[in-house]
Amino acid sequence: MEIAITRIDERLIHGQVAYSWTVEYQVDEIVVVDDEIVNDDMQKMLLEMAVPEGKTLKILSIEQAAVYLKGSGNKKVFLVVKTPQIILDLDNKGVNFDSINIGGMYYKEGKEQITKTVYIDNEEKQIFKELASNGISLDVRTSPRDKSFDLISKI
Amino acid sequence: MRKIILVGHGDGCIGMKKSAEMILGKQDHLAAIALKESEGLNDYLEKVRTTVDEYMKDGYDGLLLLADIKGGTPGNVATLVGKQKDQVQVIVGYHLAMILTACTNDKINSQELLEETNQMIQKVI
Repeated sequence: MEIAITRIDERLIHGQVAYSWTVEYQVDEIVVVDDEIVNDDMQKMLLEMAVPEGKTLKILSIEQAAVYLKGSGNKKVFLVVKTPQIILDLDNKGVNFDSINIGGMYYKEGKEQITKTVYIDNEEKQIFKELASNGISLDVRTSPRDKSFDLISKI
Repeated sequence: MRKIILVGHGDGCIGMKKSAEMILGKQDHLAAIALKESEGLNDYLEKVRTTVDEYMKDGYDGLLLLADIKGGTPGNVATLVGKQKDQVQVIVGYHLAMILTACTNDKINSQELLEETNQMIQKVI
Protein backbone atom coordinates (compact mmCIF):
# COMPACT_ATOMS: atom_id res chain seq x y z
CA MET A 1 0.00 0.00 0.00
CA GLU A 2 1.32 3.44 -0.82
CA ILE A 3 0.86 5.90 2.02
CA ALA A 4 0.80 9.23 0.18
CA ILE A 5 0.43 11.28 3.35
CA THR A 6 0.13 10.59 7.06
CA ARG A 7 -1.54 13.23 9.24
CA ILE A 8 -2.16 13.70 12.93
CA ASP A 9 -5.48 15.51 13.26
CA GLU A 10 -7.87 15.17 16.20
CA ARG A 11 -10.76 16.14 13.96
CA LEU A 12 -9.86 13.29 11.56
CA ILE A 13 -11.90 13.90 8.38
CA HIS A 14 -13.03 17.52 8.28
CA GLY A 15 -12.85 20.59 6.05
CA GLN A 16 -9.07 20.82 5.68
CA VAL A 17 -8.74 17.10 5.06
CA ALA A 18 -11.72 16.63 2.76
CA TYR A 19 -11.29 19.75 0.62
CA SER A 20 -7.57 20.38 0.74
CA TRP A 21 -5.27 17.47 1.59
CA THR A 22 -7.04 14.69 -0.30
CA VAL A 23 -7.19 16.94 -3.37
CA GLU A 24 -3.54 18.02 -3.21
CA TYR A 25 -2.30 14.44 -2.82
CA GLN A 26 -4.84 12.80 -5.19
CA VAL A 27 -5.47 9.88 -2.85
CA ASP A 28 -7.86 6.99 -3.51
CA GLU A 29 -8.61 6.09 0.06
CA ILE A 30 -8.71 7.62 3.53
CA VAL A 31 -7.63 5.28 6.31
CA VAL A 32 -8.57 6.24 9.87
CA VAL A 33 -6.73 4.28 12.56
CA ASP A 34 -8.32 4.36 15.99
CA ASP A 35 -9.00 1.56 18.46
CA GLU A 36 -12.02 3.34 19.93
CA ILE A 37 -13.77 4.40 16.75
CA VAL A 38 -13.75 0.87 15.28
CA ASN A 39 -16.29 0.00 17.98
CA ASP A 40 -18.33 3.23 17.88
CA ASP A 41 -21.12 3.19 15.30
CA MET A 42 -21.98 6.88 15.74
CA GLN A 43 -18.44 8.04 15.04
CA LYS A 44 -18.14 5.62 12.14
CA MET A 45 -21.33 7.02 10.61
CA LEU A 46 -19.99 10.57 10.93
CA LEU A 47 -16.72 9.68 9.23
CA GLU A 48 -18.57 7.95 6.41
CA MET A 49 -20.62 11.10 5.86
CA ALA A 50 -17.52 13.27 5.79
CA VAL A 51 -15.63 11.29 3.14
CA PRO A 52 -15.30 13.28 -0.08
CA GLU A 53 -17.02 11.99 -3.24
CA GLY A 54 -15.07 9.32 -5.07
CA LYS A 55 -12.82 8.31 -2.17
CA THR A 56 -13.14 5.13 -0.15
CA LEU A 57 -12.81 4.95 3.62
CA LYS A 58 -11.35 2.34 5.93
CA ILE A 59 -11.64 2.55 9.72
CA LEU A 60 -9.17 0.16 11.31
CA SER A 61 -7.74 -0.75 14.70
CA ILE A 62 -3.99 -0.33 15.13
CA GLU A 63 -3.58 -4.10 14.82
CA GLN A 64 -5.62 -4.25 11.58
CA ALA A 65 -3.93 -1.15 10.15
CA ALA A 66 -0.43 -2.57 10.61
CA VAL A 67 -1.41 -5.57 8.47
CA TYR A 68 -3.37 -3.53 5.92
CA LEU A 69 -0.75 -0.83 5.39
CA LYS A 70 2.06 -3.33 4.92
CA GLY A 71 -0.10 -5.25 2.42
CA SER A 72 0.38 -5.24 -1.33
CA GLY A 73 -2.61 -3.15 -2.46
CA ASN A 74 -1.97 -0.44 -5.03
CA LYS A 75 -4.20 2.24 -3.56
CA LYS A 76 -2.85 5.66 -2.72
CA VAL A 77 -3.73 6.15 0.90
CA PHE A 78 -4.27 9.16 3.17
CA LEU A 79 -3.64 7.94 6.70
CA VAL A 80 -5.16 10.04 9.48
CA VAL A 81 -4.99 9.48 13.23
CA LYS A 82 -5.79 11.52 16.34
CA THR A 83 -2.57 11.13 18.31
CA PRO A 84 1.21 10.68 17.86
CA GLN A 85 0.96 7.57 20.06
CA ILE A 86 -0.90 5.76 17.26
CA ILE A 87 1.91 6.60 14.82
CA LEU A 88 4.45 5.28 17.31
CA ASP A 89 2.44 2.07 17.73
CA LEU A 90 2.28 1.59 13.93
CA ASP A 91 5.99 2.40 13.65
CA ASN A 92 6.74 -0.25 16.29
CA LYS A 93 4.67 -2.74 14.30
CA GLY A 94 6.84 -2.19 11.24
CA VAL A 95 4.84 0.34 9.23
CA ASN A 96 7.37 2.60 7.54
CA PHE A 97 7.06 6.39 7.81
CA ASP A 98 9.55 8.88 6.33
CA SER A 99 7.54 11.91 7.28
CA ILE A 100 4.31 12.66 9.11
CA ASN A 101 2.21 15.78 8.93
CA ILE A 102 1.10 17.35 12.20
CA GLY A 103 -1.96 19.44 11.50
CA GLY A 104 -4.59 19.41 14.20
CA MET A 105 -3.83 18.98 17.88
CA TYR A 106 -6.15 21.50 19.40
CA TYR A 107 -6.04 23.79 22.39
CA LYS A 108 -6.38 22.36 25.89
CA GLU A 109 -5.39 24.05 29.11
CA GLY A 110 -1.73 23.48 30.00
CA LYS A 111 -0.66 22.62 26.45
CA GLU A 112 2.16 24.47 24.75
CA GLN A 113 1.23 26.34 21.58
CA ILE A 114 3.26 25.49 18.47
CA THR A 115 0.97 27.00 15.79
CA LYS A 116 -2.61 28.20 15.59
CA THR A 117 -3.81 24.61 15.26
CA VAL A 118 -1.10 22.65 17.08
CA TYR A 119 -0.82 22.48 20.87
CA ILE A 120 1.18 19.74 22.62
CA ASP A 121 1.78 18.54 26.18
CA ASN A 122 4.95 17.01 27.66
CA GLU A 123 3.91 13.44 27.06
CA GLU A 124 3.26 14.16 23.39
CA LYS A 125 6.58 15.97 23.16
CA GLN A 126 8.39 12.83 24.32
CA ILE A 127 6.53 10.72 21.74
CA PHE A 128 7.49 13.17 18.98
CA LYS A 129 11.13 13.01 20.08
CA GLU A 130 11.00 9.24 19.89
CA LEU A 131 9.48 9.38 16.40
CA ALA A 132 12.21 11.81 15.32
CA SER A 133 14.92 9.56 16.72
CA ASN A 134 13.41 6.74 14.61
CA GLY A 135 14.18 8.87 11.56
CA ILE A 136 10.72 10.31 10.92
CA SER A 137 10.50 13.96 9.96
CA LEU A 138 7.75 15.94 11.68
CA ASP A 139 6.15 18.26 9.13
CA VAL A 140 3.99 20.90 10.83
CA ARG A 141 1.40 22.35 8.44
CA THR A 142 -2.34 22.96 8.69
CA SER A 143 -2.95 23.12 4.95
CA PRO A 144 -0.83 21.73 2.09
CA ARG A 145 0.29 25.17 0.85
CA ASP A 146 1.31 26.40 4.31
CA LYS A 147 5.02 26.84 4.99
CA SER A 148 6.32 23.66 6.59
CA PHE A 149 8.72 23.38 9.52
CA ASP A 150 10.02 20.40 11.50
CA LEU A 151 8.49 20.18 14.96
CA ILE A 152 11.79 18.96 16.37
CA SER A 153 13.23 22.46 15.84
CA LYS A 154 10.66 23.80 18.36
CA ILE A 155 10.76 21.17 21.11
CA MET B 1 -41.07 30.31 16.44
CA ARG B 2 -38.29 28.13 15.18
CA LYS B 3 -34.65 28.87 15.96
CA ILE B 4 -32.00 28.72 13.24
CA ILE B 5 -28.33 28.27 14.07
CA LEU B 6 -25.58 28.70 11.49
CA VAL B 7 -22.38 26.76 12.12
CA GLY B 8 -19.23 27.18 10.04
CA HIS B 9 -15.49 27.58 9.69
CA GLY B 10 -14.38 30.84 11.26
CA ASP B 11 -16.39 34.05 11.17
CA GLY B 12 -18.12 33.38 7.86
CA CYS B 13 -21.30 32.19 9.57
CA ILE B 14 -21.38 35.37 11.67
CA GLY B 15 -21.02 37.36 8.44
CA MET B 16 -23.85 35.31 6.89
CA LYS B 17 -26.11 36.27 9.78
CA LYS B 18 -25.21 39.92 9.17
CA SER B 19 -25.92 39.56 5.45
CA ALA B 20 -29.30 38.00 6.20
CA GLU B 21 -30.08 40.86 8.58
CA MET B 22 -29.05 43.41 5.95
CA ILE B 23 -31.85 42.03 3.79
CA LEU B 24 -34.48 41.07 6.39
CA GLY B 25 -33.72 43.30 9.34
CA LYS B 26 -32.75 42.05 12.77
CA GLN B 27 -33.39 38.33 13.24
CA ASP B 28 -33.71 37.35 16.88
CA HIS B 29 -34.27 33.70 16.09
CA LEU B 30 -31.10 33.45 13.92
CA ALA B 31 -27.78 32.70 15.63
CA ALA B 32 -24.26 31.81 14.46
CA ILE B 33 -21.58 29.78 16.22
CA ALA B 34 -18.12 30.05 14.61
CA LEU B 35 -15.58 27.24 14.84
CA LYS B 36 -12.23 28.72 15.82
CA GLU B 37 -8.98 27.56 14.28
CA SER B 38 -7.63 26.36 17.62
CA GLU B 39 -10.80 24.55 18.65
CA GLY B 40 -11.09 20.75 18.85
CA LEU B 41 -14.21 18.84 17.82
CA ASN B 42 -15.28 18.07 21.39
CA ASP B 43 -15.08 21.68 22.60
CA TYR B 44 -17.05 22.88 19.60
CA LEU B 45 -19.59 20.07 19.98
CA GLU B 46 -20.09 21.07 23.61
CA LYS B 47 -20.64 24.70 22.61
CA VAL B 48 -23.22 23.84 19.93
CA ARG B 49 -24.98 21.32 22.17
CA THR B 50 -25.21 23.78 25.08
CA THR B 51 -26.66 26.48 22.82
CA VAL B 52 -29.19 24.03 21.36
CA ASP B 53 -30.23 22.92 24.86
CA GLU B 54 -30.67 26.53 26.00
CA TYR B 55 -32.86 27.36 23.00
CA MET B 56 -34.95 24.23 23.54
CA LYS B 57 -35.51 25.30 27.15
CA ASP B 58 -36.63 28.71 25.90
CA GLY B 59 -39.52 27.01 24.15
CA TYR B 60 -38.66 27.35 20.48
CA ASP B 61 -40.71 25.10 18.18
CA GLY B 62 -37.90 23.10 16.74
CA LEU B 63 -34.49 24.06 15.58
CA LEU B 64 -32.72 24.17 12.26
CA LEU B 65 -28.96 23.72 12.17
CA LEU B 66 -27.39 24.92 8.94
CA ALA B 67 -23.70 24.13 8.34
CA ASP B 68 -21.36 25.62 5.75
CA ILE B 69 -19.93 22.50 4.04
CA LYS B 70 -20.39 18.74 4.00
CA GLY B 71 -17.58 16.92 5.73
CA GLY B 72 -16.28 19.83 7.78
CA THR B 73 -16.17 19.93 11.58
CA PRO B 74 -19.19 22.26 11.92
CA GLY B 75 -21.24 19.98 9.64
CA ASN B 76 -20.06 16.88 11.50
CA VAL B 77 -20.99 18.44 14.83
CA ALA B 78 -24.41 19.53 13.51
CA THR B 79 -25.03 16.00 12.22
CA LEU B 80 -24.14 14.52 15.58
CA VAL B 81 -26.46 16.91 17.46
CA GLY B 82 -29.25 16.30 14.94
CA LYS B 83 -28.98 12.53 15.35
CA GLN B 84 -29.34 12.88 19.09
CA LYS B 85 -32.21 15.36 19.27
CA ASP B 86 -35.56 14.73 17.59
CA GLN B 87 -36.57 18.35 17.12
CA VAL B 88 -33.32 19.34 15.40
CA GLN B 89 -33.07 19.27 11.59
CA VAL B 90 -29.75 19.63 9.81
CA ILE B 91 -28.60 20.75 6.35
CA VAL B 92 -24.96 20.95 5.24
CA GLY B 93 -24.04 23.45 2.52
CA TYR B 94 -25.88 26.66 3.40
CA HIS B 95 -26.07 29.73 1.19
CA LEU B 96 -27.67 33.10 1.74
CA ALA B 97 -30.86 32.33 -0.21
CA MET B 98 -31.37 29.24 1.92
CA ILE B 99 -30.92 31.22 5.12
CA LEU B 100 -33.34 33.91 3.95
CA THR B 101 -35.96 31.32 3.01
CA ALA B 102 -35.59 29.56 6.36
CA CYS B 103 -35.89 32.85 8.26
CA THR B 104 -39.06 33.88 6.47
CA ASN B 105 -40.81 30.51 6.43
CA ASP B 106 -41.19 29.08 9.87
CA LYS B 107 -42.96 25.92 8.76
CA ILE B 108 -40.67 24.73 5.97
CA ASN B 109 -38.89 21.50 6.86
CA SER B 110 -35.27 20.71 5.94
CA GLN B 111 -36.19 18.60 2.90
CA GLU B 112 -38.47 21.28 1.45
CA LEU B 113 -35.94 23.98 2.23
CA LEU B 114 -33.23 22.10 0.38
CA GLU B 115 -35.41 21.43 -2.65
CA GLU B 116 -36.74 24.95 -2.85
CA THR B 117 -33.44 26.75 -2.43
CA ASN B 118 -31.42 24.42 -4.67
CA GLN B 119 -33.38 25.93 -7.55
CA MET B 120 -31.97 29.31 -6.59
CA ILE B 121 -28.46 28.21 -7.49
CA GLN B 122 -28.19 28.65 -11.24
CA LYS B 123 -25.69 29.05 -13.97
CA VAL B 124 -26.59 32.40 -15.50
CA ILE B 125 -24.19 32.90 -18.40
